[in-house]
Amino acid sequence: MSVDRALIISALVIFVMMATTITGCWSRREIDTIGFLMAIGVDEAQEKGKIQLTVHVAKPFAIGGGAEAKGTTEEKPFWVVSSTGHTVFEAMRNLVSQSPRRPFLAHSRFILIGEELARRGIGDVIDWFQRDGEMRRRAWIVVAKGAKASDLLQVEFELEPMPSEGGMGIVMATRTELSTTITDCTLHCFLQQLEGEGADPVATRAEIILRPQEFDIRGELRREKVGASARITGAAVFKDDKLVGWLNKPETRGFNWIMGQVRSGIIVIKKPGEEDRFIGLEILRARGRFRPEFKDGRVSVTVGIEAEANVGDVQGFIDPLRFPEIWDSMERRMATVIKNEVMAAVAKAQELGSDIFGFGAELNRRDPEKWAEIKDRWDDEFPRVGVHVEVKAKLRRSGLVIRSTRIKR
Amino acid sequence: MLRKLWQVLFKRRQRRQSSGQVRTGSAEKRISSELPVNRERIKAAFGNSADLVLQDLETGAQGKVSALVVHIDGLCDKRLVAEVVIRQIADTEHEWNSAKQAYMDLKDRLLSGSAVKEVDSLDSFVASVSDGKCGVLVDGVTRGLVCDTRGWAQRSIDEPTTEVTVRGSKEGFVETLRTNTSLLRRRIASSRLWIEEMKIGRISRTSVAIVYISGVADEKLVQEVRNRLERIDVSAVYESGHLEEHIEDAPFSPFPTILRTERPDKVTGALLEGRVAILTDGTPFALIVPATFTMFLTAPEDYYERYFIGSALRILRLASFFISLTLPALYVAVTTFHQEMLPTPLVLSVAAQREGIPFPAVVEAVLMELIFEVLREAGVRLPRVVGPAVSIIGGLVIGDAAIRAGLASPAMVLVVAFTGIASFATPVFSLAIGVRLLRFPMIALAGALGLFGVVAGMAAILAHLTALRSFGVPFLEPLAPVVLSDLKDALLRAPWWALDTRPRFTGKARPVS
Repeated sequence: MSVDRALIISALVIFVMMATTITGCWSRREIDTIGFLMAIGVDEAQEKGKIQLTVHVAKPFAIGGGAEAKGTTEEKPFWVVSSTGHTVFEAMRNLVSQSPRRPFLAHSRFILIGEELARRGIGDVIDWFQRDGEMRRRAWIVVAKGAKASDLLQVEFELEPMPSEGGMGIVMATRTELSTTITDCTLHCFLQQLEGEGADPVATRAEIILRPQEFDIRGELRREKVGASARITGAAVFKDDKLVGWLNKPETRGFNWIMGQVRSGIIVIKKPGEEDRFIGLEILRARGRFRPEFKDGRVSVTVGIEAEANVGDVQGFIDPLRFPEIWDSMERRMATVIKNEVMAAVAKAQELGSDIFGFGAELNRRDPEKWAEIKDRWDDEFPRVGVHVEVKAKLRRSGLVIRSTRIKR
Repeated sequence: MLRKLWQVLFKRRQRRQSSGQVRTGSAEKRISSELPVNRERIKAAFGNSADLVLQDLETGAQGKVSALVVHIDGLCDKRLVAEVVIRQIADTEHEWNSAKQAYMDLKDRLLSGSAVKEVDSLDSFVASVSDGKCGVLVDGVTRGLVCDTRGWAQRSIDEPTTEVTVRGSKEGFVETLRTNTSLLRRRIASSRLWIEEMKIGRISRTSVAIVYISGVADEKLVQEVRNRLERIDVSAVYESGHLEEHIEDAPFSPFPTILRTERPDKVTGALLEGRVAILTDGTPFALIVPATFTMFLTAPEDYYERYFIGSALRILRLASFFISLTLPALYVAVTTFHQEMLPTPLVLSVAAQREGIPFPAVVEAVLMELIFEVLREAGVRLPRVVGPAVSIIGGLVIGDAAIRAGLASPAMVLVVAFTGIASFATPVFSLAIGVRLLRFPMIALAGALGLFGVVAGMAAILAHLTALRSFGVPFLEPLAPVVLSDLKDALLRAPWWALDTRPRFTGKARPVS
């Protein structure tokens, strides 16, 4: 046997031995050793200066994704657990002492923030969420109105066993096809607004609604499992990183009109001629834009909104073919409603002193020199900004019928 | 690198270079003028084999000339031997003055019904007889005659079992070389279809035919095929796969660089593209060189069905090629390294399925793949009667029981099953089996390094494929190097009226004549 050959054989043997013995786990983690965090809640801890982290962990075995559901239907498919720490990161690591499975963040849908902490400022807690490699910037930021995040994490939705999925279902439906009464507010855009000059962030608002544990429908005794549920609507207004107030549903849509984020929703107008009856209009498509300008040393903003809608339902009788003027007056009323929503949002924002629309940022883009002058007193200037709204409203179709049914009297 | 390693570890035995011809001994045995001497020599050459038939005949008016008829029982058509040879010799009433005259008469007139040939030496006489010909020796003449009376039991032309098509010719090659060449000749009725025959195998003397279309196939290519075949020095050729291993460009590659087929229409198409076919006696599998990667994903129907159907099927096959190579590896990588890549409901469902399974995903994958491979291998060689039993055990019991026993997750069974099916979508078995073998290193890479490992493995395979050549043609042509005109018939098939150029390697692009 030549030296050459011996060398190669021994190298091979060593290679095989190494390959079979030193293959460490590195970043390998089996899927069944991971605890998937579905939502993360942050509150002030009772202990002064500490942060309480509450997480909602999925229990896959209780979902029963396989051939047979292993868990009983009574078992909840999630686990809510909390821990404390001086920082979010420490609290997260402290969690490990309670969870047999390693927390995994990439599937977190929500970052919930308790109102108390939000009012105190969330700048110190938000850092970890953008710094950690597992966290996604697509997670939604939700502020619990009048509650702690840990309480909000206890809610359940009747149609979804997993509350995070249920919450996500509501968010997705609300922001698109149904009403657009929440704002698109992910960690990513929250951070952008937080850092951006002349802009303040908004977040989604959620309230806990309590439901009776048991109730009786027509003598039938039915167990209502859901004790507390959540209503996700409206928006939380921040000034810098501190919560300063809330937008209700119309105000939130007013905000969305300005931002051009309205996708659909219902506009209710009073029926022309019969002021006690209503007409529901469904928004088809909308465009919104705003243009801040300097006029006589003051800042004024022109908001332009174009909206199209269909007639959804009508109380009373209309016949637009014979009386076309009703169509015009419906359009006018629709424009008025939109304008009112926009003005309400502006008024609330100016009252709270928070430039959630980013008027300042847009000013900066259009006229950086003027902005440099006004920048330092923008906080004083913003509440005095004059907003002028122009709405072009158009009604398109009237549903399957044009004329209402004439009811015999 | 592998080749070097191989050479170091197993020093190749130095082979004696030989032309592959029967060693022409220095003293080639001549045919004696004495019939009994010849008779004894022939008997000795065959070791008095039981199937050797020697018949002494008297010919001419008074039976003045004696002759010896030699053939091998079973290789000759008995009726032909009786009518064309024996009766012609025995029944003739010619008046011959000498044996020489009788010999010439036999050669030119009496036996001419059977493609008679003249041989000079006893060795070639014996070789012809063992080839199935009928030999005739005349007393007093030092030359012999061989008549072509070959005819033996052979399988009838049948539908090829390994390459079934829905539409297209149902003829497949058989084990007899001459029948196979006739199948080709029938499809290309041109004198330009050239068939060169040679014998390979010192003992077996197997006929091997190089088939090409003169003027279409590159002469250099034909010469290269000839050279490589002539270099083969073996005692016997068992099957065309035996030749394939001797002449292929990359014997250490898991990918085949020679295409094999048992369909005459496929060979015809290849010949018309300027390729060369190698037909081997004793096997229905013909070899086609040069072979490129896209040919292995091509089925005859691509050309017979309308072009967009053919194109869609090719894309489907390419997709299943990648699936059969990477799907288990991707599954392992994603579930053990990149849980963030799956949608949330799916990741929870997969996690729920893996709940309580004792093995890591990579072990689970290898285990299930092994079970599948064993089932497949058992299924190939299964006697028909036990077939259903094994498929029940395999399909139902193992699949279901593995899940119930908690050894495998349903998702993994699905992945393995789908991978297995996808590997059967590759039309050429030799490529499919190579890919199946590569799947295991891919799973190991995925289990150790995640997607990074999968990508590294794919990159290595791609680099290897790019480096491969088949008889001078890059294996990935026309994809790499890109040959625009050849892309018409690579991953997609252009309509027939647009396929008006030959592949680049033939060197004769246009027109197709």
